[in-house]
Amino acid sequence: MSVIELRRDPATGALRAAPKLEVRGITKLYTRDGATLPVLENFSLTVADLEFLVLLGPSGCGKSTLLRIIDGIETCDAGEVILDGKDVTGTTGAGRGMVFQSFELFPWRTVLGNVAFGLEVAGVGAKERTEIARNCINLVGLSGFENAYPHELSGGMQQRVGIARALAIDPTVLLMDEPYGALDVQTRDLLQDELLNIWEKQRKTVIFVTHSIEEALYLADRIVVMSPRPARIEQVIEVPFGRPRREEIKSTPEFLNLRRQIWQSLKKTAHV
Amino acid sequence: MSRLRDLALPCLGFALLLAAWEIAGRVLGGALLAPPTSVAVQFVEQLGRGEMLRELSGSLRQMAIGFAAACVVGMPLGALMGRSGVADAIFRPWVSMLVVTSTAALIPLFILLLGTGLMLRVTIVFLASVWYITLTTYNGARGISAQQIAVARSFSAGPWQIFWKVTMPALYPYLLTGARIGLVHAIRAMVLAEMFVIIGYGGLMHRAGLAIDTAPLLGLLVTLMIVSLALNALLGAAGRRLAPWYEQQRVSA
Repeated sequence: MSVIELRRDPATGALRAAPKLEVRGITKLYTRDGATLPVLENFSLTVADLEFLVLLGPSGCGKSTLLRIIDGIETCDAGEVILDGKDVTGTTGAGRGMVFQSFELFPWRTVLGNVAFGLEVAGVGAKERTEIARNCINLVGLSGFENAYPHELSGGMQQRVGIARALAIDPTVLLMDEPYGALDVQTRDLLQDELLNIWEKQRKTVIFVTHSIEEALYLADRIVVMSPRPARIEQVIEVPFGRPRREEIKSTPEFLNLRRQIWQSLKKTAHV
Repeated sequence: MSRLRDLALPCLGFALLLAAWEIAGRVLGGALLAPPTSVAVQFVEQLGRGEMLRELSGSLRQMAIGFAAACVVGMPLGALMGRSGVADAIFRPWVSMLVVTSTAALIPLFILLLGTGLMLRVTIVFLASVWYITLTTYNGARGISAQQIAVARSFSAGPWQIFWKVTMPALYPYLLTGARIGLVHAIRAMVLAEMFVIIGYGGLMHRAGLAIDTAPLLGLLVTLMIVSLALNALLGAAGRRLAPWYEQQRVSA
């Protein structure tokens, strides 16, 4: 069990848990054809420790950009990212691990080499990082494929490697950028269940980006529904389902009801 | 079945070429075009005398110096041009001009500058191959996926780690292709430079070209072709050994 730090709320004086991650007033501008467009404008968000948060929104609403700013691989024009009370804006690492949409494995590295990459650049010794990488490969169900190259694997297997690579550095915040967006529906469903299994074994704060309402409802503790240009929080939904969750909840009236409700809210902001 | 065809059809192609050559050779006579049967006899004789292989190995050694220098300069230059807009703007205009310049046209100029010794041949070989190596590497470096760099940064890799663990491996296929193209140009330039100053293997060819019988000249030409192909295949095989992922990936793609 991790110890939750308590902090006094400046306004009410009440004790409350300090957030794991805070996004404060992020602004990100894109310049295209001489015109400046804000993708994110004064955007703020708070994520609790060990929370499974899903950012849900249509394509191009800025949710992936926000995730990349949180990871530190993309810069922002204003605002800050606070992780465990420290300003980490524009820097990577510090307990953040990222899973990418199109897997982005290195084709010249084997499964083992890809999973060990983060440990290797962090200077962990060869023996230790191989052992950690093997454990992570085992965790995502790819034992026996350590020496395979990415092109020899299916899309679903490649993304398992992507997840193992992020888990190998033992992040406290796992950032997942539409990780199953490039996969077929069956593989996607399987990997959702596997992700929940892993998450129940190794609790972490997760920020998961998707445009699938069903995926969001199945995985999340809390869903932040975003609308585009510039990104706004349209709605925040506390998902009422208990854990562990199994496939069956997807056909309950409550699930379908929430799904319809979110769809209505997304439809309002859609520009087709 | 397909294995047999893969082997049989190229052999048939060669047989057709040799047959056409033989007929043309018989018609024209040895003074104009020696047929393959007399070239083969001549070739065995040349091998026996030892002069051909001695000159060839000497020439190839000098070529290797120029080619190695071209790799050492061309590969980092191409990578730098591909990754830096400033370097691209400074170097690409004249690299693009030099790559289309005829090497033969430069030889008289360099004879005046460098004389007819080792430096001339090394310089000509270098100039004939370096721009191909540079531009092949450059095209590869421009195409490196920004996402892969982002992955490395996400895992907190520094600039040097990104260069050695992402940029260079991602460039590997281009380095290999550049080296293979460069090698072909290097060997051609070697013979060309030697024919100008009548030295080494090119000099041997020049003298053979003055003789009445064309068989010795054709023997030298065939030997050079075989050696070029063998060196190229050797470079390719070394590349596959060093990077098993690359060839497999191409086949499965």
